Amino acid sequence: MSAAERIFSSVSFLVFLGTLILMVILYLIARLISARVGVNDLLRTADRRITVLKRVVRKVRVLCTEPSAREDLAAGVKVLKEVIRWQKRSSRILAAYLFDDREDKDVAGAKAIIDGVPNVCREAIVNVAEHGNDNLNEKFDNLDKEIDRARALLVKAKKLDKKKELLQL
Amino acid sequence: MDTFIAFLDNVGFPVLTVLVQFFFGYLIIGNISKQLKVLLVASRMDNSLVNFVLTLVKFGLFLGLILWCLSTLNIPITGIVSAISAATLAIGLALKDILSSVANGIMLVINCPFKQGDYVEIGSVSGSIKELKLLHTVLTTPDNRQVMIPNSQVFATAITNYSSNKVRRMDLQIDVDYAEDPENVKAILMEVAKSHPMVLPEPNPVCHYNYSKDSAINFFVRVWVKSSNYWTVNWDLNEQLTRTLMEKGVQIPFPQVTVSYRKEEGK
Repeated sequence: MSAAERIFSSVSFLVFLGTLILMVILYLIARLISARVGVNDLLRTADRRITVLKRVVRKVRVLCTEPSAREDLAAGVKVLKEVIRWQKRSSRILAAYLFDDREDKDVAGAKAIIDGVPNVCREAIVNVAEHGNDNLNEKFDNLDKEIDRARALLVKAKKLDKKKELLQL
Repeated sequence: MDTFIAFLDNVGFPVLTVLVQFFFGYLIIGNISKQLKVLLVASRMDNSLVNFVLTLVKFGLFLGLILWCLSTLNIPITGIVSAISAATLAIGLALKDILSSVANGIMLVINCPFKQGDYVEIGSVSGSIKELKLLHTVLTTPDNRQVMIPNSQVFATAITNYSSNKVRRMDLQIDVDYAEDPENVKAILMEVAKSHPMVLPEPNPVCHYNYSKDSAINFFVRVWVKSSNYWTVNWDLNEQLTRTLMEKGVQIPFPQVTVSYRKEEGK
């Protein structure tokens, strides 16, 4: 048996190899879960979730501005629940970011905007139920602009973070 | 060659294995704590408690990792554990205060007598809660000093939390001259107290004659305010009460002594 064969067939080498494979697999699983939860890059995750939120808000807008909106309120409520779910998801990530950087006014501002989104949708649905769907387009236009502003604030915060990193180097 | 292979087998590979375990273990623990942080923040747990729980979990995971690494190097953990058990008494005595601080920190997490940002008085120290650490509670005093109180001391002392209730009663005292009409003074004080925008209408502000001092009649004014407005209203109302009394010609006395001279006969 050659020296290499002796080394590679030794128990301690096999244990080393097994441990290496096991640890790499565990690390990849941890990374995968982190990516799913969105903790690797909090601002990027928040941005993605806000994009989805904006899409869901559009669904509410379509439902509320349709001529048959009053008859379709059940569908509106269902989409509103979806809005709340995505608002919570985005807000949670921003809260985690603010936990480390409490003085970031941009992210705090973005969070405040996102936290207010379900209320506007709720009001719109109530408005449809009580008075019909007049003047809702303007409301939703403003909401769209606000969500875009929140995203812009996140981009600004991201840039500032990069600058800080560079300055630390 | 045989010596080299034996060295690799007995030392080289186990050491490499431990390095791999430690390196990846470190990364995995970092990842787990990041995820845990998001989870805890999302559960609306108070920030100071999030830090405490995170430190505790990290500490536990690192301890487990170190024990695992030691077992890979064939260092008998059971031996270490039994050695630790044997030395528990000595360690316990030496680390009595530290261990009690950790245990009390856990009790504080369970009981939640305060949350981050609350204004509290612990023993002779008052300030806002900044953080609950593994061993200390960190307070920031109003003049921006940072005070660290051991958790064992915090748990053993009476804690006054000024922020736990949303409203607080404020007691103010005013002295006026004996020559003044008490009813008139009470009416002025009530008017000022009721007109302050930060004074709550319910429970009603109260004003009464309190007691007679050497040179003055003492009145008290009791109003209810939001805890967050306490000091603003206190300074504001004290100033307004004094100014209004002066404007309305009510005399605010200063300590006086009446001295009488007695003339003795024949002198």
